[in-house]
Amino acid sequence: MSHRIETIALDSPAPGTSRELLVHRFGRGDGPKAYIQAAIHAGETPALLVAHHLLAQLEEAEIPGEVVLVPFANPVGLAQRVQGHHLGRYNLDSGVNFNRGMADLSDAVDAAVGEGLGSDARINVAIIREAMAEALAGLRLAREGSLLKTALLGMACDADIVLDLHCAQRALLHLFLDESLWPQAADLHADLASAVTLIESDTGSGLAFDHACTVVWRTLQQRHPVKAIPDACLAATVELRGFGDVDETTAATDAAGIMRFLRRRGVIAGDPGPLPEPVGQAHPLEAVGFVEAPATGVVTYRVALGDLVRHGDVVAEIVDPAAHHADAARTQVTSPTDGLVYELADRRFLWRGETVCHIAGQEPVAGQRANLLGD
Amino acid sequence: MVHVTERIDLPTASLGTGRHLLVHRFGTPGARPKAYLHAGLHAAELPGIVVLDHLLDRLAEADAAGQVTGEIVVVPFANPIGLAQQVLMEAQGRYDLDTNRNYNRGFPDLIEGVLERVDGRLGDDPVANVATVRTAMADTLADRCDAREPEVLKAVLLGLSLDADIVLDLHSAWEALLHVLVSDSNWPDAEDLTRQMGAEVVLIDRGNRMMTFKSAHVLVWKAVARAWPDQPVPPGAMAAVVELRGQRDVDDHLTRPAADALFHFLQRRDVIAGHPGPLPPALCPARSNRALWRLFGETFGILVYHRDLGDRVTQGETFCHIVDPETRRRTPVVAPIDGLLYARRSHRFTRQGQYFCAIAGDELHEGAS
Repeated sequence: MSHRIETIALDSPAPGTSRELLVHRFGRGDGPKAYIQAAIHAGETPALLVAHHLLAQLEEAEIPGEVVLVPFANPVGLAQRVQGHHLGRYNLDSGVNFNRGMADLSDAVDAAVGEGLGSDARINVAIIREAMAEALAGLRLAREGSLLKTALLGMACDADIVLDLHCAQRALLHLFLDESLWPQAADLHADLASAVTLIESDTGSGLAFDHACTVVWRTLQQRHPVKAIPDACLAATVELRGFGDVDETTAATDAAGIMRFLRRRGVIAGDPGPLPEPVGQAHPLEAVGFVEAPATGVVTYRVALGDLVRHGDVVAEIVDPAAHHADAARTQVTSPTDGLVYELADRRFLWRGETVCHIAGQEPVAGQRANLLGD
Repeated sequence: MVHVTERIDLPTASLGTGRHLLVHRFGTPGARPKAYLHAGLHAAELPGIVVLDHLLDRLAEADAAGQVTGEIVVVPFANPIGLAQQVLMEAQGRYDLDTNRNYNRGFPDLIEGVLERVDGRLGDDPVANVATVRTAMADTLADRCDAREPEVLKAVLLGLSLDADIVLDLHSAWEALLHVLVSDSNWPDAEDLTRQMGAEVVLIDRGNRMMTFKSAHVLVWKAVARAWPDQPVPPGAMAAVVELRGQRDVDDHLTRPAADALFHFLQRRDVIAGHPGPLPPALCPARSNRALWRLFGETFGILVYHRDLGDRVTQGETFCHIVDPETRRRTPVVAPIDGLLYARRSHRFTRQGQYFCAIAGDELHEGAS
């Protein structure tokens, strides 16, 4: 089976330093293209191990379509160590989140080809993808993080499937999907055994990688309602549990789930078997309670990952070491919704306003921060 | 011999990141004297990098004309790790962000290994003894197995320089007059360097056991000479730190004359043929580094100076105030000694106990540190 290995040189930030991406390309290119990248948030180690298991499984597979695998998507972030700690989420120099501020190519693509689109969806898809690549090439970006993002988006923007592998703090496996992709991506939800699939209606919050891949299709659909413009890119952010969930069995299982999905979509040859029974449900992102610490202190949990809670249930207590008397030290943290506890804070000493846990329900939770994905 | 550039790839621990040094070589390998120059070991100290950029032009020209009679090794940016360290747009070139270690401390300490290796092998010939010690230094260094990136970098830099007769480590301060640091075993040998460079302050130290780059070239020789007082073992290297003013003093009108001065110095030391011209007069006497007063904030606040860099201050003079914007109190900063205000931190906020400026005292002052 065809397996090509490439390195892509990125820009150097300073004399004596070079950066490069490693890229695996599999397949004959006679079918759908999947693009998979690991750990654009460079500290999200479970994604690195899952990518390794994917590599092993792809090497054994027959691939009529195409698979592009970037096993570590962020060499800039991987090199960011401060006082012995790895800081992989934000660019130390610019302060920008490595998974925000992706290029929105909608305007450039629309200007180039919007009027020329017709009624044949296949032709439109080809035209739009070509225009996306040209728009990317035309961007003038100077800072190191921007060029990395552009290189990654350049490999992803013509893919039918984009899986951006991340992890959360302490969490169940969960997915983020644009609302335009639901329920078309229900098979991904089932094949990956997602415990919670979060459906986003607002892609305006800083443009994460999966949004950058879908926003062009959405925008063109809105601007040209009579043209045949499909949702041609199934882009998902896959949260492979928590930072500490790095073990071979889990990673091999997750990689097998991705392989099963790619078979179901015809990227890889072979029988995927029947669609597994879904583990979790889809939830609107607005129905997630991002529960904030009401006080500074040590957080002790009353719930575990996977617990179902009711509105008003105590999910945690914050213990204030500065309290003068023990009976005044505890502040209860309650759930703002009925739902499933799917993420807990990794650090156990929290400042007031930091997130204690995430609870996925079905009804919108009132009074939350405007930018639900955070920065 | 034609000018040769060589790229030394440094091992990196991180994935997708490569580091390398660029090394320029002039003259004939093995020819003497050998001079080694590098800049930017503290990576935000940029003037030396530009000085070497100018010097490379002159060296290439001289080499093409066959005038490099010795050997010259130039590493124009000695710290690619530090050069890539920026945090929220501020360069962080002095300490390794990961390990917190100062890039100019903790160079390989070769003393013990050299003392073992040269035992019984020194004789009456100083030239042969120098060669013996250099071989022992190289062998001791080769036996080390440094793993972490900054430590490997230090070992590579020392490996390039340890057999040089002249070792110049180009630094700068935050804001400063041009000054030169030399160890006592290299004084007054280095007087021609300090005069040629136009040093306004010359500080003589005894070598730093924290093992700065310079000290790695000094303390070995002192240890061997001390251990075998009856054998002639001169210092094998004249090692100096040249502090090329402040970090922003990179412009050509300052850096080109400094490069010219280095070129003349190398001519005077017979590394390059040709006449260096007359040696300029000394601008200052050499001071013991014990005559140097470093001042630390008595309180926090904003430093408001009444004297400029290069001004003389007299003992008891209030040459600066620390302004506390909350209490509106102005705490006077009094000169502890007669001397020259020669170096300052450029950020004008000080915390209590933080270094903020240095005065070169006219006399060795009891209790100064």
